[in-house]
Amino acid sequence: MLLRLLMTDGGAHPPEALASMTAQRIVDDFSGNAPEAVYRDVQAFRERIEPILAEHHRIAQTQERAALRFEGSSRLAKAIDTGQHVPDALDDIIAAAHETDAGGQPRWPSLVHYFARPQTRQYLEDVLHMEFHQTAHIERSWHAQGHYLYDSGQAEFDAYPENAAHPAARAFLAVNAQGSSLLTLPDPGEPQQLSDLAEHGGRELVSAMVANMIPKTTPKAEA
Amino acid sequence: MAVTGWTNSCKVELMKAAHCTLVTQSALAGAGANAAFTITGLTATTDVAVGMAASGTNVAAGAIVASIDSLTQVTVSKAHTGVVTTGTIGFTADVFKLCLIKVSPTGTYDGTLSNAGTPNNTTGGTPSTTNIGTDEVAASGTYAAGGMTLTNVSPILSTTTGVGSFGNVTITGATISTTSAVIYNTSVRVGQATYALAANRTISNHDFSGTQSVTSGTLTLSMPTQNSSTGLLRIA
Repeated sequence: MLLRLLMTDGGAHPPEALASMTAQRIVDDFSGNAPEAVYRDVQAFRERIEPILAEHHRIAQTQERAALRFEGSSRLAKAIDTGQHVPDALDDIIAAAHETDAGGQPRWPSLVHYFARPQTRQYLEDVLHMEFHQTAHIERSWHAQGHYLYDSGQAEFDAYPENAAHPAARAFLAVNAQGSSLLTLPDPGEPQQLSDLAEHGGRELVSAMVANMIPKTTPKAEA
Repeated sequence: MAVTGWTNSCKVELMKAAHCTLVTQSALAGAGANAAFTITGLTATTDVAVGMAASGTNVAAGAIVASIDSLTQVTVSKAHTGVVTTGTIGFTADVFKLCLIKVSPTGTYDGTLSNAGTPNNTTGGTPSTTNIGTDEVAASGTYAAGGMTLTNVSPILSTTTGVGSFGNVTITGATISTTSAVIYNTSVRVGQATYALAANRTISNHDFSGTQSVTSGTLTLSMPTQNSSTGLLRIA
């Protein structure tokens, strides 16, 4: 039940911090109640994949930040496309898992069986979709507030108030605050009708934003 | 110091089907005739539950799913106000929030907290087992009074354990110091002896092992991996 917190003063999280969180989530799936030998392999593997993940988070962060600068707040209405980042990151993690030592033996022998399972790839895909989705969401949140993020990740506050005034930004912040409950709000003038959500950019825009809050995942088997 | 875990009241309320964490479905294709109660032509009714709020162009305000009729049809509780537009249909489960608790709170954050009440750092009132009140952190950045709305993640089966969770929470442009969090359900699903307590029923407390602070920055609360050993909400 433990929530993990990540805090960065003055701006967005650095890619290294995002990578640390992603790496922990990856190893969570196979490290519970692990024997000592497995635990050592897990920690070593985690250290191996953190810089790999940091580079992919850096790419995802940089691309989203640049796209927001170029397209402006209208980009907030577009779906977050984690599919452009997941395949390469997944391949790199799987490759790392299959690395061998100088003698040609697996570097993490206790993890070989785990990474051979098809459901492991599915799990890793889901994690990467979630984590890259979060990276993009953080960039969009700063933008929607009208703040500017430098390449370093540090912010200049209220640099572009016009960004925050854009309908897509208003919808983003409204959905961020109120979630899917916006979709069921009644029209204050006609209580039998659903609100057209005009003050939040319109129903279609809000609906798109609500859908955008949910990371893409692989369909799970029914219980 | 908060005590991490389910609240006592939530354990009972789960038995009453009082909490639905199914993921929101939106922008669905389907059809509904004017003044009809059915929504037909859905791609699937998987993870649509009775009681979920229905929405869409010309779906009546306040309509909820009354029955699951087939793989492609549901019946809602109120007649459509016109022809329902395909591609606009949605089903929303309960709306949950995560509320951050300030440093040195007055109230007790353990299994006895049954209701979040009116969280608000300035106007929320005296904290008690049915009110977070002024124990909430002040609004800052994208964190507003009452807390952050959570993105539902549909429950899964992990080995033999049912696991529920939510999406991560990100707060940007904020200056906050906090010691714990409370997850609560804003939706009214089961009546209570005191009607005011029907909404904002607590789910769980989460202690942060000390004060956690951010200054003009980003605070991310990462939900644990949704599996049988680490999942946020687990029934083994």
